[in-house]
Formats: sequence, structure tokens, C-alpha cells
Amino acid sequence: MGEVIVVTSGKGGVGKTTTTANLGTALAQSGARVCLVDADIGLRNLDVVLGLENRIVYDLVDVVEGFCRLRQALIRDKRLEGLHLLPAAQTKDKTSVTPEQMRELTQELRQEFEFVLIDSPAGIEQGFKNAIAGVDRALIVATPEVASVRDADRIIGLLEAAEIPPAKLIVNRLRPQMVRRGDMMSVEDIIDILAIDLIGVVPEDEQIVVTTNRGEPAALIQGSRAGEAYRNIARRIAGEEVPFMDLDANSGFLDRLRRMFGQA
Amino acid sequence: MRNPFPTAGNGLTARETAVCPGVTTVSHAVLERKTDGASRDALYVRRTLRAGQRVDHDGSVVVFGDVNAGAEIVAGGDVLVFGHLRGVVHAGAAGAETARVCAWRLEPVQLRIGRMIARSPDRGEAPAFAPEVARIEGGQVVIERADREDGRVPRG
Repeated sequence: MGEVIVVTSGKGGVGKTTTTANLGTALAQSGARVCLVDADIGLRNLDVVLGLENRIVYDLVDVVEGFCRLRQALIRDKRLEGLHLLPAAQTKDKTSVTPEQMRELTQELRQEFEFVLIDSPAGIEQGFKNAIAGVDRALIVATPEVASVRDADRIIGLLEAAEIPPAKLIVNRLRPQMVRRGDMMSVEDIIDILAIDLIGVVPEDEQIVVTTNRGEPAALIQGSRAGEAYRNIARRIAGEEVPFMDLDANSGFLDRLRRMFGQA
Repeated sequence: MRNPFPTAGNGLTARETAVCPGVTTVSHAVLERKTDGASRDALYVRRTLRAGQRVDHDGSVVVFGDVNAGAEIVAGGDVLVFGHLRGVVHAGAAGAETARVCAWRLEPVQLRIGRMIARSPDRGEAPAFAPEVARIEGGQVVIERADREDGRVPRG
């Protein structure tokens, strides 16, 4: 029986969908059978990020309403054998699905897949409640910004209230040089507030913009810093011990030299 | 005792609720309650209070954990936080001017005792990493370290 994991954040625009797409891709790359569920009904995005928009016939709402069978709605990824997507409906809204229906749906999905990743919508209303129904664990995505961390804290409280096991934290879009200058919250600052375990740090990476627009997750691209971070997180999700990567390694040679002499 | 006005270590400034119209609406409902909660049973909260969570209790409130920014505690009596207090706290919410707020690390967004409201400075350095006690003295909120050199517990 597979595991159902929700990717959530509270705040919008912090990278839930990008994270879901990349983690799913990385897990499938390592040979796992993975299903990505876009729970953001009405604001469908995950299919675009994966470049699968043109293959959608049926969606999540069609499945829960019994309009089609689950198998008919699932889209096979064009690159990876084990990766599947259950797209959101574009023309309905969050109230067209109930947490009960989501629980049944995830129950059915976990029979077939090793990992079911649910891309949660922003907010804490019905859409969020649907996204967390029936999940085994949660991944919280936060960027190093006060508003994002505040919302993540709110979400962690709601997950605790729903008796979902302690969530793991992904810090997204970190800019190590800004942290070093004291202009950005550090990973330590965030953990100090949220008091949950860290599962990965994804550095800010221009390539994400390019790959997201192209519908081709960065996890597929060798040499992408963010892609590498996502591949590492995927391995940790699968239970492997992977050391955290040195985010300073990409800064210029002079920077490193200066830091060595304590001038940075 | 350090003088918190206007440039104390954590720089809280106190004012009457009346001069703070944006906030009075919040505290009014609470102030109408008639109990002097200090003598009531204390409520124990054995976890961290996170953003959006609120504890409302007639007596004193004891938190074993942090009170994060965005969380709120309204207590009839004292508020004791065995952790980092970053949220909003109202002690002596029924009007008890004798109420105290204590925390391992006192860094609230806003601190209310009885009818007094103190807010954190808009910009300023983080307070010392030391347990502190807030209470009302001479019509204003004062804050002092709980681990005084003479070993005595601060009294009001």
C-alpha cells in the first residue's frame, strides 16, 4: 500500500506546485510508481508545469462524481514510465468535492501507487480541507519570508488539529548570499519558529522559471541546483539518508576566498 | 529594574486603551468580564501555540512551549510562558491590574495587562535572551528580568 503525502503551505506563490511536480518526477525517476493529484480545483496548474495540459480528457471532479473511472482520468507522463497525474477541474470550484470523497479517492490511489502526492491549494478553507483528507503525512513549503513562515505556522497548527503526523519542512527559494548579508531569514531562523524537522532546502534558481514555463520539471535537468535539491528531497521521502547540500558551493570563487579571510 | 520607557531593552511603550482606538474594540468585550481571574484554576497548555490559535481562559494560563506570532492568549489572571512569547497576550483581561506576564523570552507583538496596552517597538533590537516579567507599575507596563542578581522574585 502506497503513501499519501500532501504538499501544502498556506500562502500562495511559494512553490507548492513546482515542488509537487519536481518531487513526483524525481521519485518516478528512481523507479517508483507515483501519482500526482492536483487538488487546486478551479485553478488548474500542475498539468501545465508537467507539460501534460493537452492530454486532459477527464478530471478529479469527473472521477468523484462517477462520471468516469479513475483509470480513465489518470494521465501517463510523456517522459517517465511510473509518473501519473490526476488533473484538477478547471471549470468547477472547491465546493464540488468533499473531504469524504477525497478520502475515498486517495484510498483507491494508494492501492496502485507507491507515492501519491497531493498538490494543495493556497488558503485554509475547503480546498485545503479536501487536500489533507486521508493523507499519511505532510510536506510544508515555506519561503524565507515572514508572511510565508507565519502562514506555514498556521497550517502546521491545523494539521496538528487534524491529527496528521508532524509535517516536514521544505525551505524554498533560499538565497544564501542574502542570508549571509543578513538580508534574508536563514533556515535556522525558520526552524526556530516552526519547530518541525527539515527535509530539504531548495535554492533560488532561475532555471526553475525556464523549466516551469517549458513544462519540463527541473529535477530532470542535470546541473540545475534546484533540481538537485528536489532529487535529494525525493530520496529522503523514500527513506534514504542524504546529506544536505552545500548551498555556498555555487557562489563565485572570489566570494569563497573572501569568506575564507573573513571579509564577506 | 530597567525602565522600559521609552528606550528599554525590548522597548515596549505603554498607553491607555482609550488613546489606542484601533485596539479598544478588541479588548472591550474582554474587559466586560467580571472575574478577577487570578484566583481561578490555571489552564495548562502543553504545546506550542501557533499562528491563528487562541486561548481564552478566566484564570491564569501556563504554556509549556512557544507562543508564536499570530497566536493570542486572553487570560483573567497571569500568563506564564515557558518558551518564546512572540504573539499577543492579555493578562488580567477582566481588568486586574495586578496580573503578570512572564516568559523565558518576552518578545510579544503586543502585551496587554488589565486596561494597559504595550506594543513592541516598530524597529529595534531583539530583547536579551533572559526570562522576563511584565507588570503594571505607576500606571505603565514595566518589564524586568526575572533572574535578578539579588535572587528575589520581582514583586509589584
